[in-house]
Amino acid sequence: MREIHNLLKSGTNRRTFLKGAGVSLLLPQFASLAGDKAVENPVRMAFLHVPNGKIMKKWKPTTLGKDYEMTPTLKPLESLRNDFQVVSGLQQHFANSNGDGGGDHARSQGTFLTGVQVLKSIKMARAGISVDQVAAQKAGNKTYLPSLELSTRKGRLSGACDSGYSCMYQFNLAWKNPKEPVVPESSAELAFNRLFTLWDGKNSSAQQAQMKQTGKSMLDFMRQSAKSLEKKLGKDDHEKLDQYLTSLREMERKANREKPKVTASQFSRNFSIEPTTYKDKIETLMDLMVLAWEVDATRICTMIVVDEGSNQSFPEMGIKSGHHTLSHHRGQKENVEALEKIDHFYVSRLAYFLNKLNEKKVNGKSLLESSMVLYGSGISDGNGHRNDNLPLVLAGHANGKLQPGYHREYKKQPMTNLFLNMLENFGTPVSSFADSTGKLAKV
Amino acid sequence: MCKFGFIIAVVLSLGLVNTASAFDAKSKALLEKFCFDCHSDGVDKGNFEFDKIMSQPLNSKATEKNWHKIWEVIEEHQMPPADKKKQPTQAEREAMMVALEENVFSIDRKKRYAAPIHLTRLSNEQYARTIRTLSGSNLNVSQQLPLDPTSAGFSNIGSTLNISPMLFERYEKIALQVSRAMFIKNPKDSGAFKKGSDILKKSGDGKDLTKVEQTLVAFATDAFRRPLDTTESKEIIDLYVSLSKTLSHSDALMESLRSIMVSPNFIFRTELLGKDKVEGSLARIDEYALASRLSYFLWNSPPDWKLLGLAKKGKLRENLDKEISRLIKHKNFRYMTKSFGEYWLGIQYIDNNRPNRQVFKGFNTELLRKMGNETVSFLKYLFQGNRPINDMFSSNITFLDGSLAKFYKVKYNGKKGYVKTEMPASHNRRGILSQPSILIVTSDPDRTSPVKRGMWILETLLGMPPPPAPANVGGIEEGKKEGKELTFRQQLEKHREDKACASCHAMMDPLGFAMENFDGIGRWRTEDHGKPLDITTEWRGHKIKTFDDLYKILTEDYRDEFIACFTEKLMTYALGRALEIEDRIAVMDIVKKSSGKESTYQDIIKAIVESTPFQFRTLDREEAAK
Repeated sequence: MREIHNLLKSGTNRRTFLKGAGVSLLLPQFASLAGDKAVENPVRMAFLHVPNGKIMKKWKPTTLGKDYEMTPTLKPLESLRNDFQVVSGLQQHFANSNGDGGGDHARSQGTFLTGVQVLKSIKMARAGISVDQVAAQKAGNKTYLPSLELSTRKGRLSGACDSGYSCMYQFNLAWKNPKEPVVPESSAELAFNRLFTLWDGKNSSAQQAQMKQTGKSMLDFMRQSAKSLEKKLGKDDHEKLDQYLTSLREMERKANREKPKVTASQFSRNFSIEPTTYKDKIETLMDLMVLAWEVDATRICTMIVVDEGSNQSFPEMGIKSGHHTLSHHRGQKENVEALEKIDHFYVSRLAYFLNKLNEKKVNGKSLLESSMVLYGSGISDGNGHRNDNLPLVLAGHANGKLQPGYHREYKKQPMTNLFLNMLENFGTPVSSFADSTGKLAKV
Repeated sequence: MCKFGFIIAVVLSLGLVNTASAFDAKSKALLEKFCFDCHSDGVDKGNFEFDKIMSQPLNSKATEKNWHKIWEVIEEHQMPPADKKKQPTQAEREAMMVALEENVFSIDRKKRYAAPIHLTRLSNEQYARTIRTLSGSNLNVSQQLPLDPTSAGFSNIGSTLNISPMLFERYEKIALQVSRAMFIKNPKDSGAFKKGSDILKKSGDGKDLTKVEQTLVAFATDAFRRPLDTTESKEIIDLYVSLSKTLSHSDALMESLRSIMVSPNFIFRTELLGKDKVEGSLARIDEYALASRLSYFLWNSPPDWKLLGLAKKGKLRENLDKEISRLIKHKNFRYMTKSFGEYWLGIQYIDNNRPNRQVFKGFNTELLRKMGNETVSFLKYLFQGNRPINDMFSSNITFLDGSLAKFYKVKYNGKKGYVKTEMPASHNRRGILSQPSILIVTSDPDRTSPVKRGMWILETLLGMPPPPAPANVGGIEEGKKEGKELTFRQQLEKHREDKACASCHAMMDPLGFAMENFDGIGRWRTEDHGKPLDITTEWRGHKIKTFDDLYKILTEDYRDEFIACFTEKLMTYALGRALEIEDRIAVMDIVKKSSGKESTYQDIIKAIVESTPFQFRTLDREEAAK
């Protein structure tokens, strides 16, 4: 068992690193305390966020139903027509300013999976629990990692964040509670090593009993130190220490179960090399999600394909200006055309992901059949920052619980209603979520 | 927070009665003069009317938010709008703020204020440097850590630094890696192995437990940046004993060190809770806490043996001035200029920018990182060289490597790396506003953005951010109008014909126009779209004809605003928390002290270290009850 690595540029050398890997507190257990093997094809779900809205004319089909007319922007998904549905008309009411002034980009991303009006303050962040984390908190213990959070970028283009909002909204998508986001991983290599052990057929079980004893002493020490520290703190000052203790418990949970194994033959991409193009970066992280689902390392993923308000440039596509700048197009033909190309670019990446899921069979079924992938933006029209009629695609069959192949429209219903459907299909139903008013009739 | 402080004395005599009548006639007259035209007697522009608010008791919960807003728009120069003729002098503005602070927020200017210190973890940059210093390892730690969130403009703000299971896993893994490097010989990380070998030697062979305990406690004292209490020492030796049941002495020692590096006392800044004196509701932090605050402020690194030695002897405060100077001269000071400087100026992600290569032919994105380094080196020079405050905008000194020199078209007079370079006058490079790093992060990929540049000056240098753009606002129309090519400025002026946009753009654009001589990658130019550049404009009554007129605005007309703004940012960074209204007393005090022409950046640094918010903290409830 080993890790993939490219950390050799400075400091550690390969030998130390590998030796280290073998004795981590999170050492793989081979006595088989394996996960929830009873469920052969669990439902998986992913949420993919793209910024700055879409050119809706080229995105939204003009007709509804099964025979809706494919639009130029959705064209890359054509071959998967029966595996996804376009869900139109939904809105995120609390992504509107509602008296909070500017900062639409920070707000839209903050609301995207939480459905709440996020706090406007540069000092602190307060959102709400996100839909993926509701599922993770109810069912995450079935897998090695309760949920996986990814982002193509470490940081943003400009130093500042949107008008008076903390940067936490544009850095994160998943929130485990109103104050704590689940910080995404941008390095495929680090995420890989967190999720998997690379199985080379060699077992170090001889050391295991001893390592287990060592691990126990260390964890006991950390817990004891935290308890002693707790006594010294003021009553109102336990928040951060509680985070420490929660993380410690999570580590103990993982130390007691098998770390998912993958073999070199299961993937063709070298995850330890940082991709050089934006397209590759997105697709590398997508490959990682596919692999994670294949070996059931996690069932819940969120991915910030890129952060809201992103001014990503696409010079290789002959586009001169940045995405955000262009999105305020004022109807100018050149800008709109450039935006159509960008929209097409992102949908093509979604097509890549869905095709990979479609090709990958687990227990005789494709991953796309067993999954739900929600793709979209919390802004519909980037020019005017509208938060209604959102551009959303829901792909996958969720083991037959979804009826893809349609264009459905739910005018003015909260996007959180869709979350109710998704949570139910995932096996973690809730009666309400943020501003939800009830499940969508059919998806 | 960028105002004069002298008017404070005038209002000091006011009582603290919480009714609307508490405002003295003078303050009331000021509010009337500058606010009531649009916000009183039935006029409620922007749905805001004073009559309703002032009919309530001043400390009423119902109107608290309104008063904060009023204070904020006055403080940030958002009101009265920039295009209104009737503008308060800076003294009048300050008087209005102080009146609000004293009467509405019950701030007593004779009292000292310091916030409580809450338990916070090391920021990831601090953690990386701390664990490397402690273990002697040169492992690339930062690369394995996620980015800390930015709040209040910086990445070391304790309230938003959380510990997640993912981060905790990284701590565990890094501790594993460095503890191995300390005990397993590796020519690429000899520092760690030397440190580990020394510790192993000191600990003996494991038969003498007292010796082992001394060794481990000494290591933990460094790790925790303070002495251990008896419980903590016992926990550590208990750990060793438990580990040595199944492990050899050397392995048990290694695993003990590894555990200490994941202990909450290492991860959290528990040393800051130490106090040595209580004054009313305030506690003065003890010298270990002071040593740690100092070194994480000025080095973004843990305190060294010298600071800790002085703290142990109780001699740090006696030698404070000398120690500040030593820390500023030290090579670790560059970590502060980098971390503070990059975040303050908003150039921390400069690498992510992609100037369009069809427009800027031959631009090499490799330069971006170097341009960022140039600016950080320049700041370091201003601080370490104890330069006068105005040098920020006038210095012709900069720091270039070979490729930057080529970009600037000046002779590179070094052999390798960055060298101090005096720019010839013909190159029009004076201070930070002429540096490409700033000019690029305030541009779009294919052109300059006077709006972004103007906004950058307001937010970053003057602390006068314009109000956020209204929802549903459009951008600039590109290119042509009635078949004619327009310069960008002409396009922008078209946009400003829209009344709704005009008043805010009047605050931002003129400052950006003054920088139009620098193109989207920071090259000097005199033409745009083949037409001669015209940068004549006016900002808040100040005529701007050339780039140099910005210098006058920043170093004369708005010098105090800049100093207050800079102090505020540096203090935020130094304290690792967002500032509160109460902190304005300390900030304004520093502004007053720095009013002399010869005042330097080191004067400000020293004043911050000596200030009440840095030296004291508010007792928590349990402590106060005792």
